[in-house]
Amino acid sequence: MNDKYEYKKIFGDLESEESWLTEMSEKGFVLKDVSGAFLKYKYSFEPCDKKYVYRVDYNNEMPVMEEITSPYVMFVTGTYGAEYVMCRQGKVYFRKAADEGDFPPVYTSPESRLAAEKKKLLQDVVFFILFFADIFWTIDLDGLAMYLALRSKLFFVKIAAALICVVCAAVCVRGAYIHCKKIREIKCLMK
Amino acid sequence: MPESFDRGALTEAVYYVLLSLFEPNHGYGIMQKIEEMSGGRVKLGAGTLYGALNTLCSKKWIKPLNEFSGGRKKEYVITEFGKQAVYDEIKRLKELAENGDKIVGGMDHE
Repeated sequence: MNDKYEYKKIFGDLESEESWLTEMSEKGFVLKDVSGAFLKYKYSFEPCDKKYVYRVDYNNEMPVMEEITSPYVMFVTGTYGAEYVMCRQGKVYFRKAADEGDFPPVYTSPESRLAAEKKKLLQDVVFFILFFADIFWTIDLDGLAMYLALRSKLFFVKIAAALICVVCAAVCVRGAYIHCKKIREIKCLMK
Repeated sequence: MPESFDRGALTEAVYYVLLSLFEPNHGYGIMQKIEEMSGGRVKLGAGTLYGALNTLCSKKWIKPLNEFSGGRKKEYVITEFGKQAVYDEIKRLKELAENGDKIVGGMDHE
């Protein structure tokens, strides 16, 4: 029965994720966990009678903090009376019971929304560069040539690793594309 | 740079945050005061308010009062630089409003 409460989804921006989570809560399901990687994330839910409003933000704390003690998390819970749900995939999730009053959107000015998107894009690009620098550093070409010659099973392992790299690259590029699109969208709004 | 200053004018969020800090205030108080001042029109979101506070701190327009007490009830107050920025902004806004009034003031708008 458990798989009934799992959804695989990917969102273009924070706002659509927020409204989907809030919608799910209205239907009687609260978010339990977000897992998975690559192109689709798995959202698991559990039944709950209480209705919540969800807000999602990028986890911009450097270094990336997972704990509830991050200054930003403390600020949001303290200032807005919201509840910290979790940090997953570079995003931080908050919720507030719908009957406990207003929980305004995370970014209420286009300037701050734009800044957040730009910061996230920069972070992703840095991550992307570090990731590939690491990969190329570790692949040893002599070894690869030897595997080619021997056609051992390890060769296929390397090929698989290379394929995974390509997929990762695609994911990174897609992420960057989404952020760029969003940045353009907000800039249009500001004109 | 969560709130930009490069246009010379202050953003609404920054302007209201500065105004609300003429008396020491913490996050929740700032939010409440801004909502009250604007008659419920301006409600600052968590990311916007947090960004504005951090940017203003790094520009030394506001300063934290109790530096070591940690996140939850951290209080801020405006500095002399901040006050100057507010005075300049009020002057600019007055000019805008006066010029607007000169052109369309006599008309029965709305």
